[in-house]
Amino acid sequence: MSLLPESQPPLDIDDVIRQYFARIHRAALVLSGNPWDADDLAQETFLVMAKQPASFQGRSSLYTYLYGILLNLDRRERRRYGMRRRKLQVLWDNEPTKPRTTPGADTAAEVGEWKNSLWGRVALLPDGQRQALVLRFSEQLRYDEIAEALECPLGTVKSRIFHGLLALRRVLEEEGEEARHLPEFPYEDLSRAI
Amino acid sequence: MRFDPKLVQSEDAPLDIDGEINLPDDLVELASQLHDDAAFLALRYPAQVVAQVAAQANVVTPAPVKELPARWSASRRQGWLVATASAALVLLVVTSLSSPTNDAARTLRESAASPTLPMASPVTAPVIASPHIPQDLPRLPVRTAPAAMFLNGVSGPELEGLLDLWQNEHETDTRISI
Repeated sequence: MSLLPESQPPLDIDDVIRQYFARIHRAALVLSGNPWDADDLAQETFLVMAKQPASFQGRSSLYTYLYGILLNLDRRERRRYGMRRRKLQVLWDNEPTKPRTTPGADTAAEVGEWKNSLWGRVALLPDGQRQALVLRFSEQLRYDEIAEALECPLGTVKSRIFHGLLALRRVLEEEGEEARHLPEFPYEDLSRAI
Repeated sequence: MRFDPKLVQSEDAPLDIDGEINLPDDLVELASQLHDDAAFLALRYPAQVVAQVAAQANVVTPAPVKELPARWSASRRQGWLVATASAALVLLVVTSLSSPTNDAARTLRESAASPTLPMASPVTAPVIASPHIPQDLPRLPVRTAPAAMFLNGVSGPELEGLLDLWQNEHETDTRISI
């Protein structure tokens, strides 16, 4: 099935998925901060591409185009999650003083594994820094490719990478403080805690 | 009040002669660790749904709009009712031929012919022996009602068909409880 306008050579969607899915999935993994959302994000990226084949004009490389879709989806999910988190924060703060509920015994081992990785901390950073770090240190993109995917100037890309690393270092330095707010793992299910 | 946004101008990243970001040693190490962690996580949680995504993506491709089916004409509706009634008749014949219900159906017809229901032989209801229950009380007989054909779960058209069939059977006087 052709995805491109007539001026572009036709692409096979199956071939595109075979070629780029693992790559997009890896980026979604470190972007979202958990493997469960990564599957959804990666799948939705290719579904968006399949639904809007004409939006790819061939001005950029296909994988930077796919990264752009992925980043937009990630931002959208973060906004949705942010709204839910703010609501939960209100409930959390109004809970009577009692020991914080820790994840149950049946919590997947992957949760602990993720929380111990650096990318679990990167997931806490602002969108711009987090996405720049992902594209640079996970996907190994060049600065100009990152600028293309993020749709921002080259200088902004380098600034975000630099300040993102600084912010990550600061997070690691502050790890010893007692958690005063919601658990660090942003996607943890708090329905049992409330 | 006059709007006075306090914009924080972010500092540009320090760059070397080649235009690369000039990172201190600890940040270089942090960047290297990020890369290693990403590689490890990619191996730990590999992408396994490629086939599903391909199938979904192919399904998503725009399909021609299908026209809605035309409303059933009255003749088609009537034909459906007839077919349903026929199916109900077949079902009735099959159930009447099955052995467990055969005797029950015969008993039903026989009992319907007489004005009163037959009194079954007294059957003592099981009593749980208990020290608190006096054992010398008379045991009450339990009437066994004749077997009945229950019409639970029968749809409206099927019921109409069954009623039509029963009305045609003049030799028996059956009663139907719904």
